[in-house]
Amino acid sequence: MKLLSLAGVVLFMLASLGVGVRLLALYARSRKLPELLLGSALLCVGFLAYAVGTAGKLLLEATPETRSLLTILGLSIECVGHLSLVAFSWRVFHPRSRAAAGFAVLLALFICGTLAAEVSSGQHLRYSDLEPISGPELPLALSARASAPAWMALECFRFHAQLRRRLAIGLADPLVVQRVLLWGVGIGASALAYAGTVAHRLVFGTGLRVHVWALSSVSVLGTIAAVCIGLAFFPPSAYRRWARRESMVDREHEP
Amino acid sequence: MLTESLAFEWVSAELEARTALSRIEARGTLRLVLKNVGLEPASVSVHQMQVVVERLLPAALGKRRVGEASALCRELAADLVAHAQQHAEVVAESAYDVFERMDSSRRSKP
Repeated sequence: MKLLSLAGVVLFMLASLGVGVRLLALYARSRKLPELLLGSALLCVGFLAYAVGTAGKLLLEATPETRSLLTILGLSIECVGHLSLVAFSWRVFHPRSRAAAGFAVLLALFICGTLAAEVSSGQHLRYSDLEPISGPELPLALSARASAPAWMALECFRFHAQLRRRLAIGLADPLVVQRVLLWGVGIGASALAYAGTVAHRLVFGTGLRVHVWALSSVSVLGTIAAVCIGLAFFPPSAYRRWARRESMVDREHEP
Repeated sequence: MLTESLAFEWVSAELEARTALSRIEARGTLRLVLKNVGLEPASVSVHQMQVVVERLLPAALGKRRVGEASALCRELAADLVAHAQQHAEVVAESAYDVFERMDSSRRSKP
C-alpha cells in the first residue's frame, strides 16, 4: 500500500526529469535564461533532491554522518532549484520591477537562511529518521521552499487571466494560453504538497511517511503536477486539436 | 525614466496630437483599452498595438466623442507600422515569448 501511494511521487520525478532535461537541451540551443532556470529548477527539486533525499531515508542503517551528509546534499540541491524558480518568476513575469526584484531577493534570503538554521540546529536529521521535530526550523524551511513554487503558480494564474482576454482579439495562441494554465496548476500542486508537509510536521512532528493517507495525498498532488507539466511541455496532437477547438467555441460565445 | 514601450509612447503622443484629447486623457484611454485585453503599456509590442488600435481603439475614442474615430485609427495603425519599420524597437522578451517556446516541438510563431 505504501509503495502504491508513492506512485504519484515517482511519476512527478520522471516528469521533472524528462521536462527538465529537455528544457536544458533547449537552453543549450537558444542560450535563453528562462529555459536554464526552469530546467534547473525541475531537475533539482523534482528529481535530484528527491533521489538524494530518498537515499538518505533508505539508509536507516547507515551512520548518522552519512545520513546527515546525504540530507544536507539533498536539501542544498533542492534550495538551488527553488532559487532558480524564484529567479524565473522575477525574470519572466516582472523583469523591470524593482519591487519584484526586492521580493525575489527576500525570498532567496529566506530560503537560504532557513536551510542554514535547520542544518546548524541538527534538525535536518529529522528528514531521514522517524523522530518528531523539536523546534520551528523544519516547518519554517519547508514554508520558505513552498513559497518559490507558490509565487510562480500565482504569476501563472494572473498571466493566464490576461492571456484569456488577449485570446478574444486573436493576440494569443490558445495552446500557449492553456500551457500557462497547466504550468500554474502543476507548480501550484507542488506548492500544495509542501503546504501539506508543513501541516503534517506541525501536527505530528514527523515526516509524511508515517501515515499512508498523508503520503497518498501528496502522491495525488504529485500526479497532478506530473500530468500538467508533462502535458504543458509534450502536448499530444489530440490535446492540441482540443485546445484550439475549445478556444474557437469560446470566441464564438463572446458577447 | 521611460517605463512604457515605444509603441505605447508613440501612439499616445500621436493621439494627443491628432485629437482634442489632453495628454492624460490620451494615455488613460489607451491604458484602459490595453488593460481590457490583458496587455501592459510597458511590454505591448508594435504588432499587438496595431491590432488594438485597429480593432478596439475606435470604440473607445467614439465614447470620448472623437469624430471619425475609425478613419483616424486606421491611419494611426498604418503610421505606427511605418514608424516601427524606420525605428526598429528592441523589444524585451515577454512572458508570452517564453511560454510560447516551452514546447517539445518548438514551433515557430504563427
